[in-house]
Amino acid sequence: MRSGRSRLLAIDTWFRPVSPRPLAGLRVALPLLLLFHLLWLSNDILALHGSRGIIPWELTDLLRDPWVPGLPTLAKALLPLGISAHTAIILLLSVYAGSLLSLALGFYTRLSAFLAWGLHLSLMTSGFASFYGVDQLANTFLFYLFLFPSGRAWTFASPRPEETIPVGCLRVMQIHLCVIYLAAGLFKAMGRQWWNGEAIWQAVSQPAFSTFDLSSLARHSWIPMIAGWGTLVVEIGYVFLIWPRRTRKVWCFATIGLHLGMALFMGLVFFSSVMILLTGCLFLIPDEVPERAAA
Amino acid sequence: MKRLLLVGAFGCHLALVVAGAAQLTSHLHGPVARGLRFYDALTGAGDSYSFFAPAVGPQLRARFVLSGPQGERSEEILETGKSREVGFRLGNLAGTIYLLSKRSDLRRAFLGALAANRFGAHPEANLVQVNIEEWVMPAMAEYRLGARPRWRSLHDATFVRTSRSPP
Repeated sequence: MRSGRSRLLAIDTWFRPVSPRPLAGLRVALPLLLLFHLLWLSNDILALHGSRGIIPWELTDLLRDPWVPGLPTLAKALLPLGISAHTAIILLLSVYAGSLLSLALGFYTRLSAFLAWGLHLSLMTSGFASFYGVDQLANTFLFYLFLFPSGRAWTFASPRPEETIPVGCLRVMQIHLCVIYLAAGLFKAMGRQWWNGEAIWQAVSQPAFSTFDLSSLARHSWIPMIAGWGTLVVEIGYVFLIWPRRTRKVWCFATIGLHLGMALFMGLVFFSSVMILLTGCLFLIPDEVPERAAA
Repeated sequence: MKRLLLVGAFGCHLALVVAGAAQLTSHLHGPVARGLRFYDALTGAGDSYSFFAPAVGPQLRARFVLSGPQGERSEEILETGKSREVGFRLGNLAGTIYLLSKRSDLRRAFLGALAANRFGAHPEANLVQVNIEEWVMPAMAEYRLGARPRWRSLHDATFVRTSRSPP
């Protein structure tokens, strides 16, 4: 019997055919979540990204990576066509929304994913002062949706039950997700706050995150301490316990529980939804090829 | 051969993901580093994922004190009346300004942009003081002994409207 390491190094192992359903699930759910988020921000989107927003483009241009085009660069490219910067931003945001919807519905998936990823990246670049971790995660997984085939499952196109993708596409995304949790867990473990419960206390007490009055936790410091340990166990344990079939479901539900807690007690609804979606699609949707196709 | 190249590309990409997560690529300099950072920006391979780590930092906010010609004063924060999600993002603006605080020219420019935004929202105001503040939360033991959280000022700047645009 071959060891896990030698199996990983064997070239053909990366090309074993698997079902595209995990990627298809992500292709449907991630764009819908981003679209919902865009609608959620719609009243303030021009204040965050527009030419007359809170931070003017001249300032954001000073700090952004000059090689990555932000919305201002794209908007200025439309000026020779007689399209004003304001109209261009609305147009680009509409194309972004359209590409997300088109990706979710499975129309021209690679082109839609390319547009969604490119415009999401532009939004992030021009709105760098106001973006946070979840925007980076969305960018990463939109890039994968552009790069890897996600099949015709759950699209309006006629389904092909025999459709498969190389398992390497799925593994790259799964390994990336494991690296995310391991890094997040190890960096937390390096701080004392996560061992003595202060991290949880500080997080739920900040006005930006506070959803309930949890000041009574100060009298029961063992509660935030256990919550801190639990977070470390779930995040560091993810890379080890998400792969074995016996522990996969348990760890998926523990991770989902962690993120539900963050949504409930810290109000990080969008961030938690994206993280739940990633674990749910990449590890809970079966990747086995239907028997008829495998035969 | 095609398969070998693809597996090599997967391997290189994942190596960059690990290097980025370990914050190794951020220490590199020169043209190779610039190329890597460009690739990181496109793909997210260089992200470090140190969410709330190793410690939970203080919340930052921008607070404005607006004054009118008759001396009337009002206070507000950027997040006033906004949804929680927009509030997170506006809070990050204050954090960015704080991070830029070592470059006084940029800090002043960002504070000025915030002031201009408030002048736009309040045409009656002729002076605005912008405060970047941090939330100081006592530790649990201190809280039990009676210490309470408060906002502490990190930077402030005052801007005066010098001319009015015609109505």
